[in-house]
Amino acid sequence: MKRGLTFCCMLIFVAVFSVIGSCNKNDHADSSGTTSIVFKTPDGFPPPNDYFSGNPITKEGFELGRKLFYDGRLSRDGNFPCASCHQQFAAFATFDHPLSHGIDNQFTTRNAPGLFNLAWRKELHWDGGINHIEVQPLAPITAPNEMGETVNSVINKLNQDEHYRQMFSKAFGTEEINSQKMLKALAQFMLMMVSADSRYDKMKAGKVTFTEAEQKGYEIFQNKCATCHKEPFFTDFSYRNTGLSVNPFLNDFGRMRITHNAEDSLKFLVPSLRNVFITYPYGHDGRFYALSGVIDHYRSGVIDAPGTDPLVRNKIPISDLEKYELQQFLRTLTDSTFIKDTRFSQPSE
Amino acid sequence: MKILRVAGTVIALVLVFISCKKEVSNEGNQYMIRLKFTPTANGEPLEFGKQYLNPLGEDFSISAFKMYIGHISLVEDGTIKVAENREAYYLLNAAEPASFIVETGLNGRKFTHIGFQIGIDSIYNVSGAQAGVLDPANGMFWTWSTGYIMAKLEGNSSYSNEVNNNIVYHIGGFKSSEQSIRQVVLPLPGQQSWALDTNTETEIEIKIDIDKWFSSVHQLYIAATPAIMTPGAVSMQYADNYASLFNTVSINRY
Ligand code: HEC
Ligand code: HEC
Repeated sequence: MKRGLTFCCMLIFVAVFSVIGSCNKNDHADSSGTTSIVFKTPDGFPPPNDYFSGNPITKEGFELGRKLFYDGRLSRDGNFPCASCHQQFAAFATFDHPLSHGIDNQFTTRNAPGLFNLAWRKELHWDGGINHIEVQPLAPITAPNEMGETVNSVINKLNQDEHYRQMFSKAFGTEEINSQKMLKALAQFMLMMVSADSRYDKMKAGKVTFTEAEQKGYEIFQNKCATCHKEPFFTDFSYRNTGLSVNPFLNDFGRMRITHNAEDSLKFLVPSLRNVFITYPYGHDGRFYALSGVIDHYRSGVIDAPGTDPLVRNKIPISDLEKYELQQFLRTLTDSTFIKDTRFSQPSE
Repeated sequence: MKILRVAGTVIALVLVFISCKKEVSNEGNQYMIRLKFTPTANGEPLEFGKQYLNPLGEDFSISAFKMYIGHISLVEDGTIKVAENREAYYLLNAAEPASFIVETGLNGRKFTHIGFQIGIDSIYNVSGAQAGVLDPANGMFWTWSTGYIMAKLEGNSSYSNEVNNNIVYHIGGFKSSEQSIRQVVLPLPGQQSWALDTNTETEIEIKIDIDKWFSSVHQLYIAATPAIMTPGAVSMQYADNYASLFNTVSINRY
């Protein structure tokens, strides 16, 4: 009797799995000759979003994405590759610029954020307007003040390059170059950008101990900042209004442009604070040149308007000593392994 | 042995519950059906740049008209889909006359109406980079707020206060609160029902009446809205209107 039962269970099991298997339409023909790259989730991080089953990461796809990321031909005049605004030594933010330079002497309308840990992001940009990492590059490529190109023109340029045709063929099995493949390759490159080896991470792993000031700063941070800047990403991925005044030249109302909901007026993504010390200036329009200015905003600058987040509405009391300690802690979030990782640097040829 | 029978039933039930969910089956023999659209304005075949008058008394001319359709279906009694191709999408584009001839394979059951959807299913709006007719290079994709533009109408009108009197309608939105996908079901001329088979080619001629873009379900004055380029309440009104642009003219069997 008991054996019969076991047998039945097994039958059901097999049947169920064969059906699930047959329903799965995502069959990826082994694009023969590719070497897959395993995406490693750092200790203490939750599993990433599934950007991988529809776009398995391979050495060939990743290297193609890397070449594209550093290639000026993705812009109209050849001078504005992704990397012109996303610089590795600044954790892929634009170093020292509140707004970044785009084509024809124009500026972006927002501060370029650092690029890392994107595999855990469901939405991108300060207003969350982009819902998938693969389609993100279309925004800078086609924006008249960033790369000023059209998708067709970029694809034509790539098609004229024998080397690209080979690389696309190696990565995706066919020589045909289209926007989908270009976007998937860029996504592979960016998804691999994981930053989780800062002094903070080493402290968490028990490999180093914080100085007294760093430790105090961490405690203050956990009390006063971590609800929004939640560990381990140092963001809870929400959109919030922190009581910043509206820049009269940019008139940027943030998330409202995407949701058309008045309640979202002036809400912006809570940015990750990993690598924050090297990604200055700060804020969605880069209005703060130093961390000290951001902390002063929370201490005394917050505008108490109807939409201001209750957590900051009454300002956050921070003494001068605490401010110093907070900054000491924020410095521990710099990941020097990441910014020196040669996998992400400009390819040689 | 009883236990085996029970097991068999259980397995059968489980299989039924979890097997791939198909809304309308399009299995069995496939027969080609052709839809032939003719875009018109003021009752004449559409010409770019020509002056027209909309039903609200406003002049307009057109420089671009594009629309995504898909989910072509055969419908019985106006409500029951008997066959549907949920895979294929088509981009109708007034700049490319060939795009107005659309062919698809469908199971040949009995039908009295032809149906299709305007717009791209939400899944393709949220799943990253697409290719073919859905390639963003086709210019029907918002880059700064992800999603497909389901239909585009551009031109001029003296009633527009935009630069160069431009009129610009980029209509889209796939979230439930901003849904711009619309279903169209058109009766076929005559009373009888039809079926697809191997021996006859079936072609359905459909007229697109662009005048109704401005006035059918809603009266949408150019003077009030010369341009709209985001999803939302206004976009949805244009979507209600674009669902009523279509009329079947004839069904031809060769
Ligand atoms: C002219 C400067 C510039 C160029 C060139 C540029 N970017 Fe950006 N990037 C920005 C700015 C500014 C933002 C913030 C946009 C926003 O939030 O609206 C941004 C945001 C991003 C984001 C989202 C980050 C986040 O945390 O939400 C990604 C990913 C990204 N860029 C990748 C790229 C890629 C890939 C390219 C090349 C195809 C590229 N960028 C080219 C300036 C640039
Ligand atoms: C209510 C949620 C919330 C709280 C609490 C909060 N922040 Fe922020 N923080 C944000 C948001 C949202 C932004 C982006 C603001 C903008 O530019 O519009 C931000 C921006 C920042 C930036 C700029 C980062 C960059 O890359 O531009 C720093 C630094 C920062 N916060 C530090 C802190 C510190 C330190 C604390 C605690 C004293 C704190 N935050 C508390 C929500 C919060």
